[in-house]
Amino acid sequence: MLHIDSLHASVGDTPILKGLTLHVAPGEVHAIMGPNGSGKSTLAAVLAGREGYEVTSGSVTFEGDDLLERDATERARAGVFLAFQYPVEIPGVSNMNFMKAALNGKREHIGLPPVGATEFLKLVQEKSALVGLDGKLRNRSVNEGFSGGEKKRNEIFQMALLEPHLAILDETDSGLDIDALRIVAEGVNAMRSPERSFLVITHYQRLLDYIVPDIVHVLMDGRIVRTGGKELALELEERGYDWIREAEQV
Amino acid sequence: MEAPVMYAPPAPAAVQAAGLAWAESVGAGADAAQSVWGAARSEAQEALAVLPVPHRRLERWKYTPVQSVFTGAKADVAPGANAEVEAVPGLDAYRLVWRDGAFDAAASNPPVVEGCVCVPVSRWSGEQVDAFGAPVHRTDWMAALNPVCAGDGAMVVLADGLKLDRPLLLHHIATSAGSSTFLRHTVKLGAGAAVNVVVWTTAEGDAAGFHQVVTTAEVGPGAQLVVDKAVDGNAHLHVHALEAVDVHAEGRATLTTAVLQGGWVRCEPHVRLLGAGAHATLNGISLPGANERHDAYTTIDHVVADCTSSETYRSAVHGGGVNTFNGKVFVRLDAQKTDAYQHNANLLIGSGGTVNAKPELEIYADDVKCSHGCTVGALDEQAVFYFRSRGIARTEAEAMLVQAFLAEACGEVGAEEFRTEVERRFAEKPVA
Repeated sequence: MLHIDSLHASVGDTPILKGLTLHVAPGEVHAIMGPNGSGKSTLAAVLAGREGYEVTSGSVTFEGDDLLERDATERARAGVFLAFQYPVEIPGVSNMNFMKAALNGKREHIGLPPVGATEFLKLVQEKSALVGLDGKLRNRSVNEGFSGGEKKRNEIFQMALLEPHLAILDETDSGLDIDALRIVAEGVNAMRSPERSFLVITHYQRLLDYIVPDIVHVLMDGRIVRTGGKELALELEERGYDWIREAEQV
Repeated sequence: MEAPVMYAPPAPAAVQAAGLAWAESVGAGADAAQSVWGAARSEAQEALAVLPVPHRRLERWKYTPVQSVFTGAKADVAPGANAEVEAVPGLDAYRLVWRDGAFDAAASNPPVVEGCVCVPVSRWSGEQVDAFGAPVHRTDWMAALNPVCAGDGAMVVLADGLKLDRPLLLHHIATSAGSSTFLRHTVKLGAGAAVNVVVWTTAEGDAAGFHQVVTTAEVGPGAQLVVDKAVDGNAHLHVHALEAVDVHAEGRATLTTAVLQGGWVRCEPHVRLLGAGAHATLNGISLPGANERHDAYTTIDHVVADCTSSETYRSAVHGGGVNTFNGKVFVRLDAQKTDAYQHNANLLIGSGGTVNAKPELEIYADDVKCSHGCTVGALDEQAVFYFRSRGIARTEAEAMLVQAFLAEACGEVGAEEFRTEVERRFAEKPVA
């Protein structure tokens, strides 16, 4: 589904990703761990098509197509979803109008007419129950005045509504207390399916207790330096990153 | 009780001559006087002769070029097509309609309510009409044209305690290629009375020239006046919409201005707070694009103590458009305990647009709470990316963000149909 080969990317003149290779098959959950500044969020931004990140070499194919050829909107419509580390507050735009525009964008892409009011409401009720997002929050402006936990729940609600093929969770656990973490993780787990893949980017092993990955990668200095099973995350939690740094001479 | 007057440098001779010649051509010299305007007419006539014609060195006209007004289409061209125009779809309102300055009885539906006078001045048989509000016709040349040139307008008088059950739409439709028209509305609210007046200007087809609509109003003690004003102009019609409103003790005036489109639109609300507990809310929104110039010059005059005012103007400028906000708040020596708030926020979309912003406070009292702020910025790229990452196209994202930005200044008072229509029209306007 997702094939990243020898990806190099820079922000301004600073190279951040330096030959990153990663292959994700349908239905797999990959965790990407790594110390601060290793390039985790850059990877998420490059995949989602954020401007200001320049891919200098390498390739990314998504479901057989060159992902880098598409702009951010097209990528989202094709089924790539980024759950933001810091979801943006949009005063004056209601969550419902926002999500309706998003859903209709996707529907237009696959040749469907705009969603009907009743159908949309039903979808919203069904998906918001997944993360316990109550009606009050749904009707407020996007993320405005939301707590950290509410913002992240809103991200997962949006993901549930848009049903992406690939979901990238960028440090979704940051700023969450244990209860919120559990709710968010349950939402993600409910969406796991043989067709849907996840890239879970995190600093800490804790999130992976709730969202159990199939494969764990360690990202350092812009490259994947080690890949293992879920036990690798536990080992990192115990020993930190230095032993890998030494072993891999990063 | 006059507000402090700034020094007005004289206009260059050529400008003065061009202005006076143009004024003559649009009826300022005509003897067919509408004597109904009473003292205001003779005062204005004197003022026209001595005041400087607007020019760039006049502070209040610095950003509004008038050259194109004076060289624009002249009057006396046959009226255009008699198209049916619905200003605010779905608005259940009383209405008075004018086409190219002439009252259209067939399209009008004035209220027949005891205690309420609501007629076009051209059919008014009563006494001379008092001028309400700040006497801007004595201090501003352009405003002085109005009592001299205006042949018609609405005469609205509500008795004490009368709350009109529906909004009153005062609709002017310009259709003529040489339309220079002047309307003068007069609204007098008795104690505790209330009305929502919708002042709507439509430019149809080839309409060109100059249209001035002045609304003078007196808001009695405890009365409530809501004015929802919209200018739906075109490339060639110059629209000057001015309000002069006096608010007495415990009265409230809420003025919302929405400039939907128009090449040259200048809006000028002037409010005086004359009794303790009086309050004024002024809101304004505009979205000027290519070849559009939207100017707002506002005055809120705190004459006495214990009054409050709140002012929010927003614009989103794109495609080389120009927006000007010059908001003045006077707090007179005796106006202690004044609470005045003013905010002006502007978005510049793309390149080539211009924002002129000049918030002004002039405070002579020493125990007041006055705040003002002003911002000019671009759309938040983080927000745009957030939309795009959800599959929303950039143009749609920008349009939604602009609408949200403007809607915040649209206020919550007045007819909901007015706000809905304004928002719909802004949503339809391409932002590039």
